[in-house]
Amino acid sequence: MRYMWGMLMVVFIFATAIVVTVVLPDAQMLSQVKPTPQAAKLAKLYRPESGWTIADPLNTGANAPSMVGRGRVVFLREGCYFCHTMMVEQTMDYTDYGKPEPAGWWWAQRPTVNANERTGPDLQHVGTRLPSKMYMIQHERYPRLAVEPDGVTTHAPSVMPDFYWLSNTDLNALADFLRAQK
Amino acid sequence: MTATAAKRELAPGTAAKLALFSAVLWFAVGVTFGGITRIKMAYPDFLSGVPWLTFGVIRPTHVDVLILGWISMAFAGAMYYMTPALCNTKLWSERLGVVNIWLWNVGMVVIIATFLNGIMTGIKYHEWIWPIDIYIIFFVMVPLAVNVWMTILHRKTKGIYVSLWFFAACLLMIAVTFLLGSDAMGWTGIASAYMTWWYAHNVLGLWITPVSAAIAYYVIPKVTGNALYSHRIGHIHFWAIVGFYSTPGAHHLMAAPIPEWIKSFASVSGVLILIPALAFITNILLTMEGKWHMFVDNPVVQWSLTGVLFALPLNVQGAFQQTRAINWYIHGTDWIVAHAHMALLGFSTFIEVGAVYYALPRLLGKPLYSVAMARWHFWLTALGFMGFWTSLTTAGLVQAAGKAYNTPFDTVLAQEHPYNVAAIFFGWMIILATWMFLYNMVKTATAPVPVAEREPAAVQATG
Ligand code: HEM
Ligand code: HEM
Repeated sequence: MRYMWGMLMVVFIFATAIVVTVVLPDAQMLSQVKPTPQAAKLAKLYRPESGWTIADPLNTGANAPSMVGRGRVVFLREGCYFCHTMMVEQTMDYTDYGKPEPAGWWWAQRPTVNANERTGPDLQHVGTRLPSKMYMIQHERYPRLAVEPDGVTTHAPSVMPDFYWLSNTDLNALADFLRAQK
Repeated sequence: MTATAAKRELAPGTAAKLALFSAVLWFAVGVTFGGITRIKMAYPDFLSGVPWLTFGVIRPTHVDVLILGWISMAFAGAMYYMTPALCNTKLWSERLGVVNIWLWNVGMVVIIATFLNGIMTGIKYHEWIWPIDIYIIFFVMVPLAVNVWMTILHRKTKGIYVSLWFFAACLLMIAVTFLLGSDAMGWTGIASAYMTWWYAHNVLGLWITPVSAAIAYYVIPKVTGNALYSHRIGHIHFWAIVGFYSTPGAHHLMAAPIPEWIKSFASVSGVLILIPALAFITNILLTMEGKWHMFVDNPVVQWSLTGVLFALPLNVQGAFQQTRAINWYIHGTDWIVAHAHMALLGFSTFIEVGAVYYALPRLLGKPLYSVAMARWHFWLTALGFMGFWTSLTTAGLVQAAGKAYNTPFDTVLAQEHPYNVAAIFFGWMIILATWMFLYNMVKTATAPVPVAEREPAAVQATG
């Protein structure tokens, strides 16, 4: 009997924790966050659910309504987010990566493709930093050999994997997706 | 006669044996994936151009094989072994237990196969797609929980020992956590980022941390022969885990645009986690009273206690790094990866390895094949881990300083390279030791039993 009460107590405390740390903050985030203009635009370019879906079991991105959306699926499939965040932090991060965005920047995205490690640079505003598509594709294929549009800068110490074996469509889509991150 | 023979096949302990063996196998597989990942982080051209061996797919394979295949399955094995022992009865259903572990193994194969082909959700620590979620719930979690709960309900003892409270409560809490964190819940936008961490945090706090502790609560008193120092401290530990460790998920997103109040809340409850942590460590260390020589003499105590001791720096580091004053500096660097390995390798894995060394020879009814190998296993893992942790923490500090002083990214990468190379060396010490562990366990299982020690039935069966 004593133990039944104990178990009920566990359920009660855990349920309270869920109300405070899941229901309340999520209700706030889902109801109060309004899309930024860019997020509203991008949501149309991504497929409605850009996580894994039964319709596209191999994560090819072929069903996406645009190349940008397809690129997002490739980004997810190749696990790019394990090294690159897509979130400029509310710290002195802006000195390197530009303005920290309000929550609306991720509006309707599922998932947010945001892990925590930053083995490579943040990509939230990479489209602003590196607008050249040619460079983007070169860099995806051979990150250590690609030469930036200025003709001199290379990234010899980079530890990013080569993706030269991706199809041309995938490389293009990925470049479009990255260039859309403004 | 055949019916009794069939029954005999599933002797008590079959499920536990199978679970612990499978877990050790996944341990070896999982760290090997980690080892390849490590090499790629210093020498990215290593095995380059093989799509199913790119960094982005083997990294989650490493993490999830270890969390789901090694740690969780070792938990299952420990529960299948310890629950009946503590309830003075048999496991509710040995057959269900065996089926549970085989289905679990099949699930692990599916997870590895899907990951290596890039079939992932994009949610960290929950990379498997939602059909696998359903599989895990029905074939992994529910059978395990039902078996443990039913065994506790059919116990032949009056009280319930503290380890069992943890088993019973954690099985419930992890199931709810798992559901809420699933991709199938359809969280979107910033709420999806938040729920990723709410889920990941609770896997650590309501599953890995407390169940590891529960195992130590069983193993240390058993092996030393001392009674647990204080059941009251055990109570404090238990209730503080349920109360405080279920809430600080937001401390993984301290600089993200989520509501400020939830960050502050997480910051405070994150420091409160020190209460269960210190209660646990104190309780175990005081239980060792008069038996400290076993720390050196006895491999089981050596492993378990080292794990418990790692919990101290781990939790102090955790409480320290989640304050806003510190977090902005080391967030996103290898410092955090070092913390993660201190948690899952230093603290949790050491305790589970202790449990395997304790339970498997007893389940098999045979002495350990090689104690010398167990010693090598310990020292290679312990020294390897300390070197691994130190190199990653240093690399993390290099990255953090680079971030703070606006150093170009390439310079930072070049500066941290030596530490990444060191981490390969230390990491492979651990991997070598782990395969040695597997070999030792297989040899223990297959070693012939001296005829005199065979039970009559077994002698008959083999003629
Ligand atoms: C007082 C106790 C603890 C506190 C306050 C704490 C706090 C934290 C914080 C704030 C982070 C994220 C840091 C960042 O990304 O900036 C973190 C990461 C992590 N912690 Fe702890 N921790 C504690 C104990 C533990 C324990 C006991 C475990 C597991 C057994 C654990 C496992 C992890 C793991 C695996 C990560 C990495 C998450 C990732 O992928 O980024 N921690 N911890
Ligand atoms: C029982 C042993 C181990 C466990 C439980 C474990 C667990 C983990 C976890 C939870 C992470 C995610 C950390 C994070 O995201 O913050 C991780 C990442 C990683 N682990 Fe392990 N690990 C173990 C052993 C090893 C070994 C022996 C090696 C290398 C030789 C290794 C190499 C790595 C690498 C390279 C990463 C990726 C780090 C990054 O992306 O920056 N791990 N591991």
